[in-house]
Amino acid sequence: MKKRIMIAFSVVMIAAVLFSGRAILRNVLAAGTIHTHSVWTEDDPVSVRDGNTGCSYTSILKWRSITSWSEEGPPLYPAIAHFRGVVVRASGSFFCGHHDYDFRLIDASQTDKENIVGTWDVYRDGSLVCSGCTGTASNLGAAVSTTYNVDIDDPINGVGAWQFYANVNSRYDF
Amino acid sequence: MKKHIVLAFFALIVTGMISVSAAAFDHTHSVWTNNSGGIKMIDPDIGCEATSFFKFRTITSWTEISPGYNGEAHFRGFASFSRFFPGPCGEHTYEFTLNSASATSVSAITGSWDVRRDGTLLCSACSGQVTGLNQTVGNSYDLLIDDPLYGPAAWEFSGLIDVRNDY
Repeated sequence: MKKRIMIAFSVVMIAAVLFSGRAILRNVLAAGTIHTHSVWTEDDPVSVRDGNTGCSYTSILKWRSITSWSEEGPPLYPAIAHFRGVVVRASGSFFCGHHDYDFRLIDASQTDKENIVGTWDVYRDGSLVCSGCTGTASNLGAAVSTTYNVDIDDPINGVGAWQFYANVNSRYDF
Repeated sequence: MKKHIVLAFFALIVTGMISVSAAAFDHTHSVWTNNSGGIKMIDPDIGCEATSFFKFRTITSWTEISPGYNGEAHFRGFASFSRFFPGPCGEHTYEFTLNSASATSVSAITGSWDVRRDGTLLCSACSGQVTGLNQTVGNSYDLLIDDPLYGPAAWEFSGLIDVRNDY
């Protein structure tokens, strides 16, 4: 009998801990401790890959990217994010030539601490070359001077054909 | 003949300059409030107006609308008051989140917004606009959100620009 009471008591205790855990988690989420992020890059590129020609470039005249996102979504919040990366005069071999690139997130479907999943537009020399392509920005939790990457699928050339890899120059998280 | 060649060469250079700058024409911006904090926050549900805060944070970034591109933006603002520093609104945390942007410019983001107090959604997909985002560091931006119950521009969230980045 005593044993039963003990078991019932411990079940109640465990349930209480679980429920309060959820309440604590919800409070932490609601308090917005570390849930919104921003990362900037200024002339600290790693590489850019053209998913159409297959050319990769590491020699770049000017490189800028700005992103910010909130990690809660979904289901608690909608996925919200902004990302734009610009490459001016990436130059490669005689075959690859030199080009400008523009990577834009147009809609986010999922966000967390490290990743933005969504659909993207890629422009080369001002023309849309990949429209509404699925892709992911990952490793966005990287410390300053380490690399994050954007991999975008090309409808013809396959998964992750377009790449935009750069180092974090400044970041802010709250 | 020589003049023609010179002119053609000149035209080529001008075209080249235009095409190089075209890629960088649609401007992208980011603004953080990570230090100075807030100017003003109005909660029409409680009926309070706070001008000092325990914590006040904002991160936003956006790209201006251009032909063929609808503009994309992210904005989340956070303000809280502690037990020892309740202010006129009381011990609460507030979140102002942009759901989707309908228009963006150099200085403003227009769209639909969510407002939460202590995690509870008080204004869901409410239309609103943040302006003054083109101000220099040390100046303020102002977010006004319409409430279906309390009327237009009922919610306000205004803070100082601490850091900015534009290209």
